[in-house]
Amino acid sequence: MAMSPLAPSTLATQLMRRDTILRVQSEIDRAAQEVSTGRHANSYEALGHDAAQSLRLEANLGRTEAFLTSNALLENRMGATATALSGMRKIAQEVLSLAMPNADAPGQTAGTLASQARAAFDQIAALANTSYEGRALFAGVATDARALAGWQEEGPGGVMSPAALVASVAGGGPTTGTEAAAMAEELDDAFAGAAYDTALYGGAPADGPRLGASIDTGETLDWGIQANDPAFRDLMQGLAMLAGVDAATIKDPEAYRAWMGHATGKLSSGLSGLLESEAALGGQQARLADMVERQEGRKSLYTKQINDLEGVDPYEAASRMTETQGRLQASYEVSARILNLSFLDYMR
Amino acid sequence: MSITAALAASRSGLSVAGTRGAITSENIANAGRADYVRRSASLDAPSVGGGVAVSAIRRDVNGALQARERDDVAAAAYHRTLGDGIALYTDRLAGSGSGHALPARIADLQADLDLLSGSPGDTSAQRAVLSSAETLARDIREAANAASEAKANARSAVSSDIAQANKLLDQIATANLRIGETEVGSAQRATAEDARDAAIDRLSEIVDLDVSPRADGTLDLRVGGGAALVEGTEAHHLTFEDGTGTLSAGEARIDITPERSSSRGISSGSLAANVTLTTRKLPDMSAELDSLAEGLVTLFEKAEKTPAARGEGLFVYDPPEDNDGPDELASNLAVNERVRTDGDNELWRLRDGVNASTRGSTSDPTQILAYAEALEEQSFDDSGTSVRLSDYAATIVADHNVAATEARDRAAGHAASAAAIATQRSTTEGVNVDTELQELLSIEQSYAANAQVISALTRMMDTLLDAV
Repeated sequence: MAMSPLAPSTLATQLMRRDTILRVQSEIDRAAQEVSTGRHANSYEALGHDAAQSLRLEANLGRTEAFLTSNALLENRMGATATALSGMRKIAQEVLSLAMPNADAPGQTAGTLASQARAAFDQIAALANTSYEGRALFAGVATDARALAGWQEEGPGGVMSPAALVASVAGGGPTTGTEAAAMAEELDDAFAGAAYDTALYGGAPADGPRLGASIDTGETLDWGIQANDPAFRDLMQGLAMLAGVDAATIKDPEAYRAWMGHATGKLSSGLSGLLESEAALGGQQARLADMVERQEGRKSLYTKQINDLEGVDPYEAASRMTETQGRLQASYEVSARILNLSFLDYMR
Repeated sequence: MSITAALAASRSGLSVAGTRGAITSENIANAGRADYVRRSASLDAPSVGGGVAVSAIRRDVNGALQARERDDVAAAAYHRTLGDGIALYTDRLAGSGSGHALPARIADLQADLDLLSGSPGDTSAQRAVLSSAETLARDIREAANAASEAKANARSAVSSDIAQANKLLDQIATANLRIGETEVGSAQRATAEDARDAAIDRLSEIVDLDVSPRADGTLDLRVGGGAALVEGTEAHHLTFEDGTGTLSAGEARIDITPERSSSRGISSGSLAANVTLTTRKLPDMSAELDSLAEGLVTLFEKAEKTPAARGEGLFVYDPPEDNDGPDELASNLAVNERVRTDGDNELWRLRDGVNASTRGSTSDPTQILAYAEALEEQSFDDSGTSVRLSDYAATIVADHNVAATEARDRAAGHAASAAAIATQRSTTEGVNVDTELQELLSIEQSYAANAQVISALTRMMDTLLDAV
């Protein structure tokens, strides 16, 4: 007996309807998830091996964001350094302005010069010991150390103060021009050499590692001004010479000229050195700001790329959901009608 | 011809109507069974006398469609098992977008190192580096553990697949025996054939099969590659050997391992997937995680300022004491205990080097920058090109996840195709209740007609008897 054509079995029809409805339901689920999250429900399915690209972008985005944070901290720190530096320069400048009229022969203000220089020495030492977020700004990598000792304070070597260092060389002051020159030379050696570390500077050594920070992928910024840089040594020597020997007490004009000439010379060379460091720091700050700007740009680029890869167009997802919803309703309708349709109802 | 002959013919009609009714009701009763094949009666004139007789109960099966459906069922089971088996591991690798994926963890460590390089002496920044290093090590460890758990799971699935397959092989051999004993066209034979086909259908989810019928109605089963599983009434049981990863059939131990060139083996079905997962797929994935861990250990050892030997870098292998396998596995990856909070807790080593002998300056960034650079080094081989550690991790995570998703996708494809073939098969093999009800009406009519004929003949006989 031949079967009538194309009459699928009752069970198969029912199973098929059930499967269709299940499939449409899972499509709706998916579309709903994509509408609410704005991302592919399964990015690995949507992107295939491009998912590696998206993972890489996410890692890069995370790192760029962290750079932005760390660079902001670094910017602040550099800003604090620049402020301290310009403060020091202003103080030293005042002393220099006071000393210049008295350079060749003692003028009216010669008497106050020593006390001004002492005050300036202490102020600059205090500024050099400034710390930002608990870390000294001018002590190099030894940020837990005191960068400079005050005029009367005992130096880091624990043997003498800066005042004692100058006194040990100059004693009561020079009496002749030759003596003044010899004393100045001896002080040059002391401030350029190990005595500076014993009496004044307590930070990291000059030839050791310097401060540095990773500011971008593969890019390190070496920065940091140490209070044992030549500019500081000159500046402090100039101040120390003015502070250690009261100019008004030097009687011999030759000695006076030699001593004061050397002191003001050191002071102004220190000042111009400081100005150079400030300019260099400004350059580094500009480089960092530029880097931050680029990183901001890169961050939005990464975000956009990630969105392009992983994001789902909300309108597309929403219309897909509406369309699927319609399909599901139609499936219910059709299933209900077909399942109600049975020959059994017409057999009497 | 005589009235008696006419009566006999009508009686045969009634009896055929009864048999057809029985068959139809059987069909309707079994309409809900997927493995039931619709029966129909073949009618014929009896060899002796007139009338009609049921010559055989037919059970029409479309062999070609059946074979195609089984192929698709096997392929769907293969890819589904493969996808699910891998997903057991990849679901534990956090996905993209979650921010917890391995590449993001590496980026976290890098970012914390960047931050620390700006303030090397800051203990909270040091602690952040330690914590992101520990998180990275833990995530790699957990991924490796998930991979080996998935492997153990696949291995036990191999055993249960084999146990089930062997039971089904026995059932099929027994059904062959019963079919050989029953008469062609009998209801018992149809029932035995149903049972056998159902067992073969279930078996085809486990291994891919070739079915070759014999003249006597029994059949032989072979795996896709040709090795015999059932020959007549003899079943060849499957066995799996762990050491060599060999799957074999029968006493003769014929090698049927999937994806092995020398074997006449299986290539589809859940068993093939589970064997492949156990011996190749998951071990390969574990090996990739191991090389990721090894890369991390080596990079950081090389980055040490004070030259470091194995075990003296930031990342080390810290196997459990009762470890009986090799030490250098991703599952043993840890942060050096000189730094770890539960170890020596010497955070300054993150600034001065894990292998350093003394503490250095508070804000010396040299070592930290060397660590950060190590992570930038393009030292990983990703199919021929050198890439960074985090790129390698991204490739691993994406590849493994895509492998799982692709397998599930293909499973869905094969399952849909199997379902389509099943629907097609059901037109000839399945029960349509409406058709059966119409059949029932025709039986009713034929029964009523035959009964009318008998009552007419009876009246004729009565008339004749009254005339006597």
